[in-house]
Amino acid sequence: MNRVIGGLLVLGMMLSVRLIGQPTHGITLLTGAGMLLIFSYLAGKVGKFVRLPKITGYLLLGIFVGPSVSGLFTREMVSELHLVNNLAVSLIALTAGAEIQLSWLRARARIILWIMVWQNTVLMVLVASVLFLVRQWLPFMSGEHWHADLIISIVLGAFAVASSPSVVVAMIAETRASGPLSQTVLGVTVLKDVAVIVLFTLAIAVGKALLGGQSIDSSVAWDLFRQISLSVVFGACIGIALAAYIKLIGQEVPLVLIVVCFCMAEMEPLFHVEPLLMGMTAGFFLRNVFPGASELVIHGMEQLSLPVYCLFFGLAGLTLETGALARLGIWALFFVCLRLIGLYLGTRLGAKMGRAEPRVRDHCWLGFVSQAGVTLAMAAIVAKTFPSWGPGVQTLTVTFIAIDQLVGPPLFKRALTKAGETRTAD
Amino acid sequence: MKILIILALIGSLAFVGGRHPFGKVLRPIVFTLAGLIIGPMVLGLFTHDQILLLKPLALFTLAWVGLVIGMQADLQLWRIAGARLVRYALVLGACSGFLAGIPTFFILWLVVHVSFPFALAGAVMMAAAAAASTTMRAGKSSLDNLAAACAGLDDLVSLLFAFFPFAVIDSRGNLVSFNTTMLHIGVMILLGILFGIAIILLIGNRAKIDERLTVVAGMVALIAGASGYLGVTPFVVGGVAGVMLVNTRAAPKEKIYEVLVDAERPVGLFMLIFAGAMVTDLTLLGLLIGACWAVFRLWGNQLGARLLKAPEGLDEKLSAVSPIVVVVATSFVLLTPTPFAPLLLESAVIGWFLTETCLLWKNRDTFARGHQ
Repeated sequence: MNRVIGGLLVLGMMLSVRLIGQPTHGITLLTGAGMLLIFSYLAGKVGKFVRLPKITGYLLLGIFVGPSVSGLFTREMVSELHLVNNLAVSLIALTAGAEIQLSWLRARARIILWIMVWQNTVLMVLVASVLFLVRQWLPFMSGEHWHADLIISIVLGAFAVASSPSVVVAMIAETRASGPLSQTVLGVTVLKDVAVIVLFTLAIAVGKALLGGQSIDSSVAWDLFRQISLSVVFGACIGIALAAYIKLIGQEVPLVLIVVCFCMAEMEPLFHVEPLLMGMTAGFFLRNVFPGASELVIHGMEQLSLPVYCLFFGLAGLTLETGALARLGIWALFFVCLRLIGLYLGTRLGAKMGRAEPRVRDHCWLGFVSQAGVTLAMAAIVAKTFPSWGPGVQTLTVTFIAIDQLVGPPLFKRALTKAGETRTAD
Repeated sequence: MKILIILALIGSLAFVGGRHPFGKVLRPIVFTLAGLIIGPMVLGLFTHDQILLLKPLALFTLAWVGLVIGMQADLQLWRIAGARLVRYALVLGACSGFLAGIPTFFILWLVVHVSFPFALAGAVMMAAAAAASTTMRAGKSSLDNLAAACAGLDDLVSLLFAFFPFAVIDSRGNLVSFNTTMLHIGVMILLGILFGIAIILLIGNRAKIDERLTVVAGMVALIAGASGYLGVTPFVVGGVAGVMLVNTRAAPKEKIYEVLVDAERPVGLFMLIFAGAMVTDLTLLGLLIGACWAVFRLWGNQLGARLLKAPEGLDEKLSAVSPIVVVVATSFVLLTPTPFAPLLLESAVIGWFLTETCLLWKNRDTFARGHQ
């Protein structure tokens, strides 16, 4: 009750202040971040109360206070808050990498690889072929030429493959889960992050070639190789530097972590690297090459995790456009169902081939439902590259991501609970 | 996005600086110097406008430091500690501040030809900067303990002095009427009280450390944001919120204070670097004000000790300047953009550096022994 009154007091104060005062440079960033932290925190508490993951609470809160529903957060505020978002992505990636231990990765390598290969193949083939077959009823298809419809199907197939490492890490942290299921989901999600980039880049290259009448440019493969290898090399260097800092100096670790994450966020536009991959590699190096040094960092990241998740997922909710739900909701739902079928079949098949434990085989697929930032970024690229039909695909993507984001965390929590890997009181 | 690189570079450079052997004693100065060197005045790696992009972070820090200082006004603890300690801390702080403000006022009024009310506001700002002290060496004697306790409490005097300049000058750097001054003071107190109540309500007694950190960080951002909207200083609003928070029986004050102090170092370090980078020039006038400020501050300390018949050596132990000096001065530059505000920041930094250098020189043998 106290928290509700406190939240209402804060809300009343901030509304009055905004009404009376005048914003100056950077003030909207401060008030936006402050409100998002407080209200996401409260929404997480409500989520926990109704036995939903806290992340779902943050996301729902973000959607509710966002520009497309209540308008408490304006589009300018959301745009300013992206500064915080970049930092959060790097920190989450670093945490994801640091969660992966070489010891269990070696033991589970076969299962992880099989699941990844089969899941990606089944998802890609199933989604792309079904969409292509029913293309005449789908409003987001180009309707111009079968070539274009094929490309749309392949692109959406590539989108279906993507999962959200952020949600996986946050859910594992929230439930303090540990065991074969969480390890497998984490391992597959991290590897899939690389696979998605490859698949998507290839889909775009094929699309350009088919529609533009040009041959597939070899520079695409080179760019792809460069992007992935640079991300890994930079990530490894950052991991080594962080470990050296901790060994030699070892002070102000949370501050250093924030500075490092800011640097990683800034490197993305400068070197065209993948921030998630870079962060994960840095975390992985830190954890496995310098295990002694990683303890301090992991402790620092644990302290920062709740505010970071509140900001990151609250902001993810803010950016989810619900306007298209009424128009494309049914098709987005169709896509989500198709993807769920693909996930179930592909994961089960992979788990069987990899001879995974029964609980992993039965529940693992529920961990891959959530989708987030990477898919949104890819949809934006599609909209820019193919202006005739790209924006339609982008709108559909945003809509099905909204659904996936909301249903994904509870499903993953259910899987972890069923597998008996959660360690929280509830 | 350039802002991120600036932040990263400032952080790295300052950390390298902070590893110097004398760093433990002069650590705040080293960080401020690092900011000064990479700022527009020396190397010019970043322009003043680029540094100003970090203003939101600086406002956040001001609110954070204000909250920490406000939480030192725990009346229950004061009763336990005894009236003697409170009297020493407050009177010594007030005397140092009052005397340090006098030369600033006359130089601003007679040499810089700033109008009387502006000169007065500037002088009170410098008094706020002078009131807070720190101990250079942590010993184990009863006098050392007394000095350490006083050094914690006199920050409150700084907070009280800081009310005035931010109430009489608005966020555009103009003097305001008496009624508006009262309104500003009222707004700062009301905002502080309401934010204090909100923090109490939001943090339950069973809240874990990450929950406390989330709420405190969110509320500090809101204090900074709301103060920015209304053109008042988050330093004072945060301070009032801290006083409110610490004196409410229901509040889990120890838990909140623990979070605030844990994060104070990184937050404070940023402020020091930022303040250094905000200094755009070193002038003779700045040197004059800074030197006078330093000398008068020490006299004020001695005067306060004599007035109260304080234990011998207490004033000497409290002669070092607290890094609060740059918090107050930077707050003045950021929130009351008067033409003489940068001069006062420059003077405060010079005065601080001079005081610490003299003290270090005076105690060089002790420090050398301690270092070995």
